[in-house]
Amino acid sequence: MALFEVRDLAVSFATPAGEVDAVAGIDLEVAEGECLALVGESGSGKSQALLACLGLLAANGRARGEVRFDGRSVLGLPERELGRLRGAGIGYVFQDAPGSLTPHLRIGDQLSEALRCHHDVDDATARAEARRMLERVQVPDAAARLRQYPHELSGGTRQRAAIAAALMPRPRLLIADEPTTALDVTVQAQVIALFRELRRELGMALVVVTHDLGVVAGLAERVAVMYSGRIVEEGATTGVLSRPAHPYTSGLLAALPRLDDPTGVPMRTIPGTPPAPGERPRGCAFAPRCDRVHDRCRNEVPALAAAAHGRVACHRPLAGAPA
Amino acid sequence: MNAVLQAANVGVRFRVGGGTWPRQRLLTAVEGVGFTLGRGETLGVVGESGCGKSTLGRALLGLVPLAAGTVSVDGHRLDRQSDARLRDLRRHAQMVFQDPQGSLDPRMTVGQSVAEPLEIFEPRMSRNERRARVAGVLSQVGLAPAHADRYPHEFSGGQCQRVGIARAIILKPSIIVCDEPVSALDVSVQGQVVNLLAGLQGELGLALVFISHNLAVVRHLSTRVLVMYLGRPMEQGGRDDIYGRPLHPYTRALLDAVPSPEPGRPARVPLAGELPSPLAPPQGCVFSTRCAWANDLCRRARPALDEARPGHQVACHRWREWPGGVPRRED
Repeated sequence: MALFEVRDLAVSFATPAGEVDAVAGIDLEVAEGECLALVGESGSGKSQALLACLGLLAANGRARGEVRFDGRSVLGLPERELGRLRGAGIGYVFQDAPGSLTPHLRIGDQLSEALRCHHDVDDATARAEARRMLERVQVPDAAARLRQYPHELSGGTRQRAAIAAALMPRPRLLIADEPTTALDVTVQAQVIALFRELRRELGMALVVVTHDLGVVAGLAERVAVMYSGRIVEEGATTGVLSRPAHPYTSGLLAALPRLDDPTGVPMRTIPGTPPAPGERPRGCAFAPRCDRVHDRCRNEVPALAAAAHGRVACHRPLAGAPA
Repeated sequence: MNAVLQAANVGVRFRVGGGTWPRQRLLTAVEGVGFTLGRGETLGVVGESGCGKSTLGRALLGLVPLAAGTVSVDGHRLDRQSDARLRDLRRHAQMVFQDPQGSLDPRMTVGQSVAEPLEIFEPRMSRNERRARVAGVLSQVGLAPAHADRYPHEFSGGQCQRVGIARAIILKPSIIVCDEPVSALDVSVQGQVVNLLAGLQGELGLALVFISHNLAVVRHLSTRVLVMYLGRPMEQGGRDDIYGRPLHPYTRALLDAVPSPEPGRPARVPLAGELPSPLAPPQGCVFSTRCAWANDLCRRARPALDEARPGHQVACHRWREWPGGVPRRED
């Protein structure tokens, strides 16, 4: 049985313009110790889907479907029990992770509080554990950092401190929302390596939300690609990245700037922009940007169906999927 | 070559301090940067956050005072001009910012934002003519003239960046400094903005300064590349030299840090640690504390910016040891 299981999750927001669907029914599964990457662009619904799983939607948001963690149903849990689940069961590193630290609390206080909220330990134990955790996420001079405030740390160190705070209660699943997006490429590489080591040492499961396929390759065993509120392709990372079946996945891969791209020719892009959640077209949401589009795509939403490396939601998948 | 933008030995320093530490200290944000840029050329400026690349960009437009060196636009030194003349020179040099949404006033329509430079520099232009100019640049950047009446929040990040570019080109400048113009954008849209800049450059004969922390993005546009670390130039040269035969270990590290989507290729951590504080730069080579190749000399003496090959300069004591480029360190 999967550690974390999402079935037909839909998220909608009540807006002055009516009910808007941000997530239109997705399934996810993460096994104990596994790493899943959830890939998509801004507005694809990837962050809202995961926030919904933890009961963290904005007040006008509504989640339907089934979310199970360790066999227990999560949606609709009372706030007290959700609070217990968040942190101890599922840790969350937010998109603006450095900003999710409390500005007026010393790093040491924040880390030990994160542990003491969930486990019955005394202050001295919590502080010792905070220091160990900072060392584990490779913050240099951990003892001195514990006495500092977030603004005294560099962006990369704040990111590590936020990761350490999420890890303090020893969650079995860590959700990291765009953990490397705001960072320099050099620090990005460090954080990816850190996640790999933490998984090996702590054996926790990991869901990484990202728009960068370069991050996925170094980290995740499985990848799910979201577009406009739906999963359009999923499967083993090696298969999806080497032989993508969905034109969107393939377009994202081609658009990623690389050092061996030919120069003097335009960069490869996906024309257009993703549809706003309220303005999704009738058929496949990717159809207006797709170079393989035909009539059926404009009228009928494709269902996720078996493909060579997993599943793909496309009426005309690329070679690599069974004909 | 007809130089549009020339920088010589540019230095920028900030006074910092106050608070509980009353003594003011001098922070060297940029030191010893020089280059020449002609029409249709692009200088890529690369380095990590805090390396001084944005400050350099602002210094090139005369937005921060120089502590040393000179900047010339179309042959006119920025520091020797009257205020009126400086204002006139500024219209030839424009900037595109990193945060596409944040750099537009949310209470102004896109048309008003794009027209604002015209109101300042050509106040006598008739309203109809101004509207026509706005419609013209909007279609140049791939937006519809009808978009002029909408507000920034109605646009995606990529579209806002197009608006920012429209505002930068409406005065027909000869230079545009782009400060991380695609870093905040989705991958699928990044290329659109890069291609747009490349197209406009060809059309308008612009000299571009393209600031980014990602070498893979810079490579598409640049004719020359400047690699900065802690405010100092580490290496500078033509694109093919920098990417094909990097002579500075820091350039090599930045190249190795670009994430690759090749499955199964182990990700590398080319550079441990963080940028030292610019208030207390390391002795000797500023990169020596993080450099895998540093020796005693590097920790003692600041290397000069040597001309390794014509047009290819490097500030490293050891560049002669790797004529074909810094080898990868396998650890």
